[in-house]
Amino acid sequence: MSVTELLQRSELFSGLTPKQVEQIAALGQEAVYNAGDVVIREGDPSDEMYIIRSGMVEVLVSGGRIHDVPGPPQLTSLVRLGQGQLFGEMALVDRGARSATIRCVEDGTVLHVIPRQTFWALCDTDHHMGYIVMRNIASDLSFKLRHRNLQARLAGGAL
Amino acid sequence: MIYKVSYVVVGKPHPGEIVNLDTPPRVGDLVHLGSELFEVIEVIDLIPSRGDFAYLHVTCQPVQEAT
Repeated sequence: MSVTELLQRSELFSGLTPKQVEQIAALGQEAVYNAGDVVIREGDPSDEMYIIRSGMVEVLVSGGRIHDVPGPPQLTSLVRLGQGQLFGEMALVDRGARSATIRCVEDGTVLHVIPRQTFWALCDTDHHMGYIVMRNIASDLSFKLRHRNLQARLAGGAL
Repeated sequence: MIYKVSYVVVGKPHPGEIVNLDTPPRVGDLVHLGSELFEVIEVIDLIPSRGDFAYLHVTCQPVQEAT
Protein backbone atom coordinates (compact mmCIF):
# COMPACT_ATOMS: atom_id res chain seq x y z
CA MET A 1 0.00 0.00 0.00
CA SER A 2 1.39 3.41 -0.98
CA VAL A 3 1.89 6.26 1.47
CA THR A 4 -1.05 8.08 -0.11
CA GLU A 5 -3.28 5.02 0.22
CA LEU A 6 -2.25 4.63 3.85
CA LEU A 7 -2.94 8.28 4.58
CA GLN A 8 -6.35 8.05 2.90
CA ARG A 9 -7.27 5.60 5.66
CA SER A 10 -6.89 8.45 8.13
CA GLU A 11 -9.98 10.52 8.91
CA LEU A 12 -7.82 13.63 8.49
CA PHE A 13 -8.00 13.17 4.73
CA SER A 14 -11.64 12.13 4.45
CA GLY A 15 -13.34 14.05 1.63
CA LEU A 16 -10.11 14.98 -0.14
CA THR A 17 -9.15 13.85 -3.63
CA PRO A 18 -6.13 11.54 -4.05
CA LYS A 19 -4.25 14.50 -5.54
CA GLN A 20 -4.98 16.65 -2.49
CA VAL A 21 -3.87 13.83 -0.19
CA GLU A 22 -0.65 13.60 -2.19
CA GLN A 23 -0.14 17.35 -1.77
CA ILE A 24 -0.43 17.11 2.00
CA ALA A 25 1.61 13.92 2.16
CA ALA A 26 4.40 15.67 0.30
CA LEU A 27 4.63 18.25 3.09
CA GLY A 28 5.66 15.63 5.60
CA GLN A 29 8.22 12.96 6.15
CA GLU A 30 8.39 9.49 7.63
CA ALA A 31 9.72 8.85 11.13
CA VAL A 32 10.16 5.40 12.69
CA TYR A 33 10.12 4.75 16.43
CA ASN A 34 10.50 1.75 18.70
CA ALA A 35 8.59 0.76 21.82
CA GLY A 36 9.37 3.14 24.66
CA ASP A 37 10.51 6.00 22.42
CA VAL A 38 9.00 9.34 23.37
CA VAL A 39 7.78 11.22 20.28
CA ILE A 40 6.60 14.38 21.98
CA ARG A 41 6.79 15.47 25.59
CA GLU A 42 4.16 17.30 27.62
CA GLY A 43 5.01 20.98 28.01
CA ASP A 44 7.33 21.16 25.00
CA PRO A 45 6.77 23.64 22.17
CA SER A 46 4.69 22.27 19.31
CA ASP A 47 5.45 22.52 15.62
CA GLU A 48 4.18 19.33 13.99
CA MET A 49 1.21 17.06 13.61
CA TYR A 50 1.59 13.29 13.36
CA ILE A 51 -0.37 10.60 11.56
CA ILE A 52 0.16 6.96 12.53
CA ARG A 53 0.86 5.00 9.36
CA SER A 54 1.44 1.77 11.28
CA GLY A 55 2.00 0.69 14.86
CA MET A 56 0.65 2.05 18.13
CA VAL A 57 1.34 4.93 20.53
CA GLU A 58 -0.02 5.85 23.94
CA VAL A 59 -1.09 9.24 25.21
CA LEU A 60 0.21 10.04 28.69
CA VAL A 61 -0.33 12.93 31.06
CA SER A 62 1.58 13.76 34.19
CA GLY A 63 -0.09 13.86 37.57
CA GLY A 64 0.20 16.84 39.87
CA ARG A 65 2.02 20.02 39.03
CA ILE A 66 4.66 19.27 36.43
CA HIS A 67 7.31 21.79 37.43
CA ASP A 68 7.10 21.43 41.22
CA VAL A 69 7.68 17.71 41.50
CA PRO A 70 11.32 16.65 41.65
CA GLY A 71 12.35 13.64 39.60
CA PRO A 72 10.52 12.11 36.66
CA PRO A 73 6.78 12.89 36.59
CA GLN A 74 4.24 10.13 37.27
CA LEU A 75 2.57 9.45 33.94
CA THR A 76 -0.96 8.17 33.44
CA SER A 77 -1.94 6.54 30.15
CA LEU A 78 -5.16 8.06 28.76
CA VAL A 79 -5.58 6.11 25.54
CA ARG A 80 -3.68 4.19 22.90
CA LEU A 81 -3.87 5.25 19.27
CA GLY A 82 -3.41 2.92 16.30
CA GLN A 83 -3.06 3.07 12.53
CA GLY A 84 -4.78 6.03 10.89
CA GLN A 85 -5.06 8.11 14.05
CA LEU A 86 -3.50 11.52 14.43
CA PHE A 87 -1.95 13.34 17.34
CA GLY A 88 -0.33 16.71 17.84
CA GLU A 89 -3.23 18.25 15.92
CA MET A 90 -3.96 20.67 18.76
CA ALA A 91 -0.68 22.35 17.85
CA LEU A 92 -2.09 23.17 14.44
CA VAL A 93 -5.12 24.76 16.01
CA ASP A 94 -3.89 26.65 19.06
CA ARG A 95 -0.06 26.76 18.84
CA GLY A 96 0.09 25.94 22.54
CA ALA A 97 2.58 23.70 24.33
CA ARG A 98 2.15 19.95 24.11
CA SER A 99 -0.69 18.90 26.40
CA ALA A 100 0.44 15.29 26.68
CA THR A 101 3.39 12.98 26.20
CA ILE A 102 3.25 10.51 23.32
CA ARG A 103 5.20 7.29 23.69
CA CYS A 104 5.41 4.41 21.22
CA VAL A 105 4.23 1.00 22.40
CA GLU A 106 5.20 -1.06 19.35
CA ASP A 107 8.58 -1.48 17.68
CA GLY A 108 8.76 -0.09 14.17
CA THR A 109 5.88 2.35 14.60
CA VAL A 110 5.82 4.51 11.45
CA LEU A 111 4.61 8.10 11.71
CA HIS A 112 4.00 10.74 9.06
CA VAL A 113 5.16 14.09 10.42
CA ILE A 114 3.65 17.28 9.00
CA PRO A 115 5.13 20.69 9.97
CA ARG A 116 2.58 23.28 11.04
CA GLN A 117 3.85 26.18 8.96
CA THR A 118 3.94 24.40 5.62
CA PHE A 119 0.58 22.80 6.34
CA TRP A 120 -1.03 26.19 7.02
CA ALA A 121 0.62 27.65 3.92
CA LEU A 122 -1.03 24.96 1.79
CA CYS A 123 -4.42 25.51 3.45
CA ASP A 124 -4.07 29.27 2.85
CA THR A 125 -3.65 28.66 -0.86
CA ASP A 126 -6.59 26.23 -1.05
CA HIS A 127 -9.32 27.33 1.34
CA HIS A 128 -11.72 24.54 0.40
CA MET A 129 -9.12 21.90 1.21
CA GLY A 130 -8.25 23.78 4.38
CA TYR A 131 -11.91 23.78 5.41
CA ILE A 132 -12.21 20.02 4.87
CA VAL A 133 -9.04 19.27 6.82
CA MET A 134 -9.98 21.56 9.72
CA ARG A 135 -13.46 19.97 9.84
CA ASN A 136 -11.79 16.56 10.01
CA ILE A 137 -9.47 17.72 12.79
CA ALA A 138 -12.48 19.02 14.72
CA SER A 139 -14.24 15.69 14.18
CA ASP A 140 -11.19 13.79 15.45
CA LEU A 141 -10.93 15.97 18.56
CA SER A 142 -14.64 15.48 19.17
CA PHE A 143 -14.25 11.69 18.87
CA LYS A 144 -11.40 11.70 21.39
CA LEU A 145 -13.46 13.81 23.78
CA ARG A 146 -16.39 11.40 23.48
CA HIS A 147 -13.99 8.53 24.20
CA ARG A 148 -12.81 10.31 27.37
CA ASN A 149 -16.39 11.04 28.43
CA LEU A 150 -17.37 7.38 28.02
CA GLN A 151 -14.29 6.29 29.95
CA ALA A 152 -15.22 8.64 32.78
CA ARG A 153 -18.85 7.49 32.76
CA LEU A 154 -17.94 3.80 32.82
CA ALA A 155 -15.38 4.43 35.56
CA GLY A 156 -18.05 6.15 37.66
CA GLY A 157 -16.60 9.59 37.11
CA ALA A 158 -13.20 8.55 38.39
CA LEU A 159 -11.25 10.36 35.65
CA MET B 1 -16.13 1.59 4.98
CA ILE B 2 -13.55 2.29 7.64
CA TYR B 3 -14.67 1.77 11.22
CA LYS B 4 -13.13 4.21 13.67
CA VAL B 5 -13.52 2.43 16.98
CA SER B 6 -13.22 3.69 20.54
CA TYR B 7 -12.51 0.80 22.90
CA VAL B 8 -13.19 1.37 26.59
CA VAL B 9 -12.40 -1.33 29.14
CA VAL B 10 -14.43 -2.06 32.26
CA GLY B 11 -13.40 -4.35 35.09
CA LYS B 12 -9.75 -3.36 35.23
CA PRO B 13 -7.63 -0.26 34.73
CA HIS B 14 -6.85 0.12 31.04
CA PRO B 15 -6.54 3.24 28.88
CA GLY B 16 -8.53 1.83 25.97
CA GLU B 17 -7.72 2.34 22.33
CA ILE B 18 -8.82 4.25 19.26
CA VAL B 19 -8.16 2.30 16.06
CA ASN B 20 -9.40 2.03 12.48
CA LEU B 21 -10.83 -1.33 11.45
CA ASP B 22 -12.03 -2.82 8.16
CA THR B 23 -14.85 -4.78 9.80
CA PRO B 24 -17.08 -3.71 12.67
CA PRO B 25 -16.66 -5.41 16.04
CA ARG B 26 -19.60 -7.42 17.37
CA VAL B 27 -20.77 -8.36 20.84
CA GLY B 28 -19.01 -11.56 21.90
CA ASP B 29 -15.89 -10.92 19.82
CA LEU B 30 -12.56 -11.45 21.51
CA VAL B 31 -10.10 -8.62 20.90
CA HIS B 32 -6.49 -8.03 21.79
CA LEU B 33 -5.77 -4.60 23.22
CA GLY B 34 -2.02 -4.64 23.46
CA SER B 35 -1.08 -8.07 24.82
CA GLU B 36 -4.31 -8.53 26.76
CA LEU B 37 -7.46 -10.33 25.61
CA PHE B 38 -10.90 -8.81 26.11
CA GLU B 39 -14.49 -9.70 25.26
CA VAL B 40 -16.71 -7.17 23.52
CA ILE B 41 -19.87 -6.66 25.61
CA GLU B 42 -21.40 -3.62 23.88
CA VAL B 43 -21.14 -1.91 20.49
CA ILE B 44 -22.90 1.40 19.81
CA ASP B 45 -22.86 3.96 17.00
CA LEU B 46 -21.07 6.84 18.64
CA ILE B 47 -22.00 9.42 15.99
CA PRO B 48 -23.53 9.17 12.50
CA SER B 49 -21.23 7.87 9.77
CA ARG B 50 -19.68 10.43 7.42
CA GLY B 51 -18.04 9.72 4.08
CA ASP B 52 -16.14 6.45 4.25
CA PHE B 53 -16.04 6.47 8.05
CA ALA B 54 -18.32 4.92 10.65
CA TYR B 55 -17.79 5.77 14.31
CA LEU B 56 -18.29 3.08 16.92
CA HIS B 57 -17.89 2.79 20.66
CA VAL B 58 -17.04 -0.61 22.09
CA THR B 59 -17.15 -1.59 25.73
CA CYS B 60 -15.16 -4.68 26.62
CA GLN B 61 -14.11 -6.61 29.68
CA PRO B 62 -11.29 -9.00 30.55
CA VAL B 63 -11.98 -12.48 29.22
CA GLN B 64 -11.56 -14.18 32.58
CA GLU B 65 -14.46 -12.14 33.98
CA ALA B 66 -16.74 -13.29 31.19
CA THR B 67 -16.50 -16.96 32.08
